[in-house]
Amino acid sequence: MRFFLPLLLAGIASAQAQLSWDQPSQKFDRSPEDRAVEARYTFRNAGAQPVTIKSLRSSCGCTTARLEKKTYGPGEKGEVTLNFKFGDRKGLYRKTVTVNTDDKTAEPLVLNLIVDIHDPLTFAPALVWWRRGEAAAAKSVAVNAAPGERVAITGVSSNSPGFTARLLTAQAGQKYEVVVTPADTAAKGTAEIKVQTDFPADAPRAYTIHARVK
Amino acid sequence: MTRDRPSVLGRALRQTAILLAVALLPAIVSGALQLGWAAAEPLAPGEVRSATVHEWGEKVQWVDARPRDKFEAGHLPGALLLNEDEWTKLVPAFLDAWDPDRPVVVYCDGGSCEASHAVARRLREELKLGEIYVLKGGLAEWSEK
Amino acid sequence: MVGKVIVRALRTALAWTFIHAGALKIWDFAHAQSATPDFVVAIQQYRLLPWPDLAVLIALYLPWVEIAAALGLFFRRVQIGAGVIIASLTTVFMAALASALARGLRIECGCFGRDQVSTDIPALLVRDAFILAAALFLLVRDHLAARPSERQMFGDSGRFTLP
Repeated sequence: MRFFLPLLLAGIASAQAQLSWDQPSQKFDRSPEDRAVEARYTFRNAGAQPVTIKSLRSSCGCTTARLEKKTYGPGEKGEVTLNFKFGDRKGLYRKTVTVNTDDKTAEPLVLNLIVDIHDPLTFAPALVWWRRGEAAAAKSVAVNAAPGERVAITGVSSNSPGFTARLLTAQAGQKYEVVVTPADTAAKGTAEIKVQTDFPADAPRAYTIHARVK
Repeated sequence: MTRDRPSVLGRALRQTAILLAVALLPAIVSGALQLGWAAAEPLAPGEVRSATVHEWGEKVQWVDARPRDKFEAGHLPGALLLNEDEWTKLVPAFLDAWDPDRPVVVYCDGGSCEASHAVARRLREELKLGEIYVLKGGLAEWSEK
Repeated sequence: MVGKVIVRALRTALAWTFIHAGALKIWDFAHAQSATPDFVVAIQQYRLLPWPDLAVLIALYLPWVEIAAALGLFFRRVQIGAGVIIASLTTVFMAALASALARGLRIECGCFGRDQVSTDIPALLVRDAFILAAALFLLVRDHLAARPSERQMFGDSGRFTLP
């Protein structure tokens, strides 16, 4: 059919071209003090044709990437570097970056960067609050270190006279309770209660328990 | 009887109009189908549709889970910035403004953005707040109407 | 006769390009993960449109216009209109590309599936320039070849005839 001649001409098949990746999925365990993680993703052009990387697209959440150049000849090696800044994140995060090339025979490749940002201390809950007029009874926050870890709380302090905070130690380095009591619940109130620890040794963290009268 | 030859411009416009009209019918049909499917998409737990939020009206407390520069470029009326980059710094201000009797709806850009879900999860799990919702589809699907 | 073959090839190639473009968008819309496909969001991101709903309407209508225009190239009755639509669309696309930022390879830190900007903007502009040239060439040729009397577009049976 004459109409499909241009179609055939347009479909000039490109010879096999391929990037082969050493480790497209990488997992890291880090603590918040590390602030960021940098991962290197190395690859090689295992095909017979040069391959050009057209774009790197990250999933929402701002992982930045570096790539020295775009086109790689047959046999040439390259590297994509991903940098993920933690901010105030805690827990398990997975960032993906999709690599688009001019290689029509291959699907865009997804690079995985998995980070477990580990914080050994948990607060249950991190907020205590009262309604106006409610009984001004004490409320408590359970503070626990993760099993096998040791985090000692060295002090608690309230930044407002409207709320007092008391530390109870059930098991040093492991299990604590912070008891918060409002002076009264007649009016709205705000306090940030600082919980000072001894971990990590070089720069001990302070956590915050929030207290409110609404 | 031969008609007068229409002007070049007139002919071009008329033919263009015909094609645009011809394209309109399948567009309406496919559009209705697509949007019909879209409305039927199930909500994940904790999600809320734009239509529902519209019903809540002024009561809603918006939370913007995006990076600061996007927030400053434009955000929903009364929205508070609360993202994971600056969580520690932003939470106290959020809690000052938070009203336990108003529903909180967290949004981000839409598409594959997960920030709103992450922020909502932390509000529910760390702070044990109730009535925390995520805007389905994010800003992309929000309309002012 | 060579001229006729070239013109026919050009017409087919142009039609195929736009049918393909339109079909791809329709497919994309039908298989979107969320109700709002990524390219609709991309349109909204340019903040060119007064309200977000307009982007959705355009995204629903545009592919069908592309397909209708592509098919219209083969019907003498609407060839000119088809050529006008195709040339106009291409010009608009080129203007949008030209105004898009092109800073070499960069991360699309977007939540959106499709890249708004690829590093190959110059190549895309060149490609679109060729498409525009082909569309204009065809348009002029069709205009010149158009019969003055409408009667001759019809066979004795009164039906349209293909060129």
